[in-house]
Amino acid sequence: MKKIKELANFNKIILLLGLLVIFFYQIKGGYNYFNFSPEGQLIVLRVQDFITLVLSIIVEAFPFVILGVSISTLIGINFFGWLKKTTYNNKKVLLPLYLLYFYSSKIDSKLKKNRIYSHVKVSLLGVFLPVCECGNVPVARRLLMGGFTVSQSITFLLAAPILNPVTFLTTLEAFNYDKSIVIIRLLSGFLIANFIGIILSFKKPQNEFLNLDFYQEICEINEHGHSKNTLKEALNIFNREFIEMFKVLIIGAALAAASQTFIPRDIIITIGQNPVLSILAMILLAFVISICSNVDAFFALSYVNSFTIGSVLGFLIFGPMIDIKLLTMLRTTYKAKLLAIVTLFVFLFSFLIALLVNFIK
Amino acid sequence: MNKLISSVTLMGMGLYGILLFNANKLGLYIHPRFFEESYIASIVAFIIGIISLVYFIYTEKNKLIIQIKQIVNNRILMIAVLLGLSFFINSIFLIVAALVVLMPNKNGIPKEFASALLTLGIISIGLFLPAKGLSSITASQRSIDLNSINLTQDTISAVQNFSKSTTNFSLGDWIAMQNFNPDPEFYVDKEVKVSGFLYKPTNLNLNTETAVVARFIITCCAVDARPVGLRMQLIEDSDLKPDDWIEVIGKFGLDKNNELIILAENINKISEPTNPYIY
Repeated sequence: MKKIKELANFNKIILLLGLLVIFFYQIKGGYNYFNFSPEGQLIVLRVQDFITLVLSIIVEAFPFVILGVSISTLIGINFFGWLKKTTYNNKKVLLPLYLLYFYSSKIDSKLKKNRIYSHVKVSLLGVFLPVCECGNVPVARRLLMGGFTVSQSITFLLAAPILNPVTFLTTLEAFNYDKSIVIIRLLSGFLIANFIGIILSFKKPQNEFLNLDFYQEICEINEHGHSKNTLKEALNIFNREFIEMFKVLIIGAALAAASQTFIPRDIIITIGQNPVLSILAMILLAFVISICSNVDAFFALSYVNSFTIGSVLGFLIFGPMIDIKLLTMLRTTYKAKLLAIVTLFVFLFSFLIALLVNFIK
Repeated sequence: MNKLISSVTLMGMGLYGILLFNANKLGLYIHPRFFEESYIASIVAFIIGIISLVYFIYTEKNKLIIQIKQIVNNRILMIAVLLGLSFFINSIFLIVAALVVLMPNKNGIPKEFASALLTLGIISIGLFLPAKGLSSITASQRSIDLNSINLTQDTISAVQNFSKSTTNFSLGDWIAMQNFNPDPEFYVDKEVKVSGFLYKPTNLNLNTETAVVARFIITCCAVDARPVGLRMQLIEDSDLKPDDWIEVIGKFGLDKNNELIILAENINKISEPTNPYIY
């Protein structure tokens, strides 16, 4: 025991000495840490670009995370229930709002009975939530806590990024010359999301798909119920959801940026005109690039000339549903096995649709 | 503890977004169409962060003090953080680090420390490292087609204005014009004045006197940046390095392979502009 203590003290002295050396070096040399040899400077540039990429993903996703967490908080404190009651009491004044909540209130009653009806309805929820994929994760988590089954939440997650007004408008703006692309994108998003959701709904019990930590969280909430202090409840939910999402957003951004920095994009893109390989390349690109579904149409547009049209569609269908950043965020909620199944299905379907388009056009 | 980290992160990210917007540097990371959303979200995050921080400190004071003590006791990580800060901000932090080394220690690593390190690390990188655009390293990984561009509103107007005047044409305008009319003969002897970074792509087989004056096009954020550029003839004895920002004044001409090239009369070094990309 004594020896260990002595060893610890020895380490302490070494550490202090090290700090002293660094201190004098800083005093003497100022801040010339980045004076490297030419080869070293290349590494510095690469690191600098890596940091820029990470920050750009985070800065870009941040508003959507805040929006998603806000909606999730509003659901969590039963704001929509209150709003429903208020609109019901003032029907004439708030007619449009009332219609909206008339629609949403129907979800609860029929949701458990009719499998196909419920999934179709859930997949159209995105129309009211113009959030891109990363903002949808906290909302889906809250919906799960509110009694959605796993299959319904997956349908929501897959459909909402494509079937929402912002994505629709930007896709329409980008592919104005060929509106069939917009239609195929929306339709296949709708079909894939529902199909995968309905297949998953046959698996019982559904909770087996959930991550253990998240499952415990749901159980705790069901046990404790809601506290009466709304401000406290709201702040608690907001902060808990935010930090949970932000942590994995950083990791996801770092992974996406690393794959961008270390896999040259040339390798992915050199296979432009082959009807099969080009689809694989564009889906791989969508997977690593992780850009927001609200604007990815503009990005895809720049590949229209050099790539087959089917592969561009593959990018537009696969990208919003699955990418590196999104998978890391989903991992907080679902088991890896489920995510692997969903990824495989989405890949197969978008590949088939893209192939079909390539052979028809 | 998680709540404290979360509220500080909210505040930090909010502050970061507001500062970026005010310094006009948001354009280094994202497309202008996201500016407003980003600014509003930053303000919301900052306000909620402050409210939660005050609220949590007010209601859970005693719990927090115990947890903060635990973290302070976790010395190795503290020292690592302080060392990092001393690199980027001030050597004063080294003295604090030395004090941390000398402090008594009882408890192990708190679970939340990793997430605190992660989130606060990214915020301090954002706040304290100078913001920079992408460099030619990234360009060299992404250059397939150096002059393909989409016709957006701005570039369409450039094409329309071509017959009137080309004195104000930027790099993006010229490349859009080239997409519209790819015949190189059409541009010979036109006067050109563009700015961008100097880039020597390896895949175009350029000789030593030729380089490319390039910029990135972004549609969403820096992740999807693609380089575009015009070939240019370098002036002899210039000490230009790749990644230097330059302004090229000259005339268009043709090289041996009948490719369009800028015959530079004057090349000035400039500092990196606040919006280095083409949108």
